Amino acid sequence: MEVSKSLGVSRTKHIPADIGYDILRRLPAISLLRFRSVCKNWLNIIDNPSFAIVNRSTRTVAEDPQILATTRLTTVKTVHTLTYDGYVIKETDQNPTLQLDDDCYIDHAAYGFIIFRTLDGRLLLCNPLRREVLALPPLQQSNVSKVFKLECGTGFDSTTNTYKIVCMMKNLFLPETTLGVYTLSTHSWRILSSPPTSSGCLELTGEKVSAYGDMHWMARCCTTKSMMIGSFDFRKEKFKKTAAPNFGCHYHMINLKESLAVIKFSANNEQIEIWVMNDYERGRWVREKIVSTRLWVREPTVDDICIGACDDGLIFLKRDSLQVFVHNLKTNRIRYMDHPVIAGGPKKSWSELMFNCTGNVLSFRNFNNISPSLPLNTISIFLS
Amino acid sequence: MAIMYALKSSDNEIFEVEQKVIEQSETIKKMIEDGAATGEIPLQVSSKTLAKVLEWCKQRQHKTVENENDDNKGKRKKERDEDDDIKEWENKFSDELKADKDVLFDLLLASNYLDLPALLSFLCQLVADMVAGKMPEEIRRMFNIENDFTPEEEKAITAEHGWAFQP
Repeated sequence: MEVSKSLGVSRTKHIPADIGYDILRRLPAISLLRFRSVCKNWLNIIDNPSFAIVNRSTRTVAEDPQILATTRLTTVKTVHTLTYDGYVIKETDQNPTLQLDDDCYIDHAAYGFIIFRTLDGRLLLCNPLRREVLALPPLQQSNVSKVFKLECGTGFDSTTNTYKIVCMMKNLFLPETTLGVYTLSTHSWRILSSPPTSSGCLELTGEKVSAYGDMHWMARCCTTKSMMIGSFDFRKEKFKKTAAPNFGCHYHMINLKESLAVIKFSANNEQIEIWVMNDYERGRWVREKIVSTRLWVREPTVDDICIGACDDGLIFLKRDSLQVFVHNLKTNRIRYMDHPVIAGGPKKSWSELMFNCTGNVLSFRNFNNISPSLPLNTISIFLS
Repeated sequence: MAIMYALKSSDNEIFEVEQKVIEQSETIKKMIEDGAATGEIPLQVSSKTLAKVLEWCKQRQHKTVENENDDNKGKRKKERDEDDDIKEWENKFSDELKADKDVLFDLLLASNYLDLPALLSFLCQLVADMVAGKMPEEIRRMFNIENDFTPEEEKAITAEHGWAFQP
């Protein structure tokens, strides 16, 4: 019998389901969104929330879309998605990506999600890759936003494989603080009875970064007033102090390739130092790189710039000039860019906050209460 | 003196292999432990694929033996050089497989059948890197997957994340 060898044998063979799954879990989020339309079986795998969790712990971070959220100081109702291809930033969609029902501020971005805060203190959880928005139930029933200060952070509890949001509502007039943890898989809040900090007291500032499953705030010790990092441990569900480099000066905190990193400017602004926490359990920091800022057109200083990470570099948004530039840490090249959304807006209206994280393929559809999703001023999804 | 085993491919070719090399396969290791491996071990793997499997196993074995013989002095530098050598070898191995997808898919099935977790994981990553930028239609052709959506269903699912389809 003649067997045609040229056609090859594998064409007639099917890849077993477990091997197919093993390949899928290694793919970047953007490929997965595309491969949903391959067949019903793949659609079911990719849309399963447990797959999204396996995927985030397996895939190669470098290939992921980077989500970079920046916002105006004013509230937003529209989310634009931009892509950066290594050369220019351009709009991905002709129309705004999402329309939010309410005026919102971006509170932070973490683990692939952007968390919006409405004026009356409600939280919206958005997955920009999925174009989905989930309205969180209120932490407290009464409408008390006017007299409360709200602080929240997002984390991933690896013991229960679920995303959680911690929220602290501080009464501005009474010594009264409500601390609650929202769990995505149950779509509900649980009020914590323990005091906000395990030892002493930490005053959280607005600057925060997600890494290692937890949320980390720049914090000030209430008694000594010294700067430190306060973290919420999502497995133990309590605040703790995280070892911080003791520079004696202000620095920026970012998420650099899934690690907590700080950027410190030298006294004359001629160089920046990048310190990375390479051992979260032991609280160990190493200086990873010193980068000269001499190639920058006009040296921004520590106070007039916000920093995020993307691709192989750092992205800088200079507040007074609305200039965006990327410093590639591998090649040491700098690229200045026009930002399609920033360029059109008024000057000096940009917040000092910029958050970056990698994309998440998780869909809220298998949970409850998807608000009619159709929401920043800019969300830039960077694709390498 | 190393213990040798004879492996017989599905097209009746015999491969003489050291026990240590072939024991990386959990399937064969179990056969040996159960005493089922007397004489020739028949395998449902073609000679072309089996040759590739053994190429991988020998490289891995080589690496383990060398590490055992190392003394600590100068080990770090040596390890670095070895890592480079392994990378180079793996790149060459990958390039050959990328060029011949039939061999790649057969090897994937063989690594699953022979229970070689390291090879399976290596190949899955290789395939993932190869398919990451592709379109659904290319994926279906590559994996021999039938499109079980109606055209309307497919259009609706594609439209949900239309931006992801941009080049």
